[in-house]
Amino acid sequence: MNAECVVWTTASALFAVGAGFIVLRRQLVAMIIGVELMVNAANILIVFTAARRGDPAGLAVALLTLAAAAAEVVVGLSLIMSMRRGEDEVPETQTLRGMAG
Amino acid sequence: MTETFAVCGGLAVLFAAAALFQKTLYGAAMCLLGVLLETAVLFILLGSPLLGFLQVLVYAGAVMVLVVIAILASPPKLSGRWAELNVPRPVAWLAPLAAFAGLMAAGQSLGGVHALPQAGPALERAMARLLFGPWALATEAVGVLVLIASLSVLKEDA
Repeated sequence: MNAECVVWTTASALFAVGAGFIVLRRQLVAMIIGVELMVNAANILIVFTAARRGDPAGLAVALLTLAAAAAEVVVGLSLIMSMRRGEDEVPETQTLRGMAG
Repeated sequence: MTETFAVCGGLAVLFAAAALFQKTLYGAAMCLLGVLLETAVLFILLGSPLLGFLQVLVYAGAVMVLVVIAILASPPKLSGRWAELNVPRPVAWLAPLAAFAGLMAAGQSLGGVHALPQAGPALERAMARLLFGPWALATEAVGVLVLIASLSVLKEDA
């Protein structure tokens, strides 16, 4: 069994399912879940490539990506919670429609 | 080792596909938990237990709690606001299929290795030296980013 083929198939399938979440589900939380799946797929490939080449930079990038993706989830979900509270009401003058007159 | 990776990777894809077809967001979140845990196992199989444990701590722990709280706090009517983004289903299916085909084609063009490579503790030590040495600025920047993100949860009048 070819290891590279297995890893690429796994990561590609995870990325494809993540993309499917974004285009097939309408809920905002589902879209965030899809983005998380895609980030995880990318991380698997980064770690695999780092291990294959013996490059510590790949592992470091994977670690930083993990932290940045967690921050992205926090911001995304806090925006959703903000919409829940009704605090995201943008005045008509600040929207593109308002600027158009 | 490659066979174990194939089994765990297959389970991760199975959980992800199950999440896609769940009717409720809560069910999708539980399936996502399975994917995240399997991804941690994949990191460990690739010889990087540090990333695997961090994956469990950060994703399967903290992020999942946030996702579940957001799902429980979101009203069902919120999904209706994005109805205009919905494209016809047959067309929408093309996006994930194209992503899968493209990534597989890219992987095939790289050539193959038969044994699963292992990162190992030496590479993890080198990573730590990199993060707290030449890449210290990037590490600090990501730390500040996480701090600012956590502050975004607070209300303005809090």
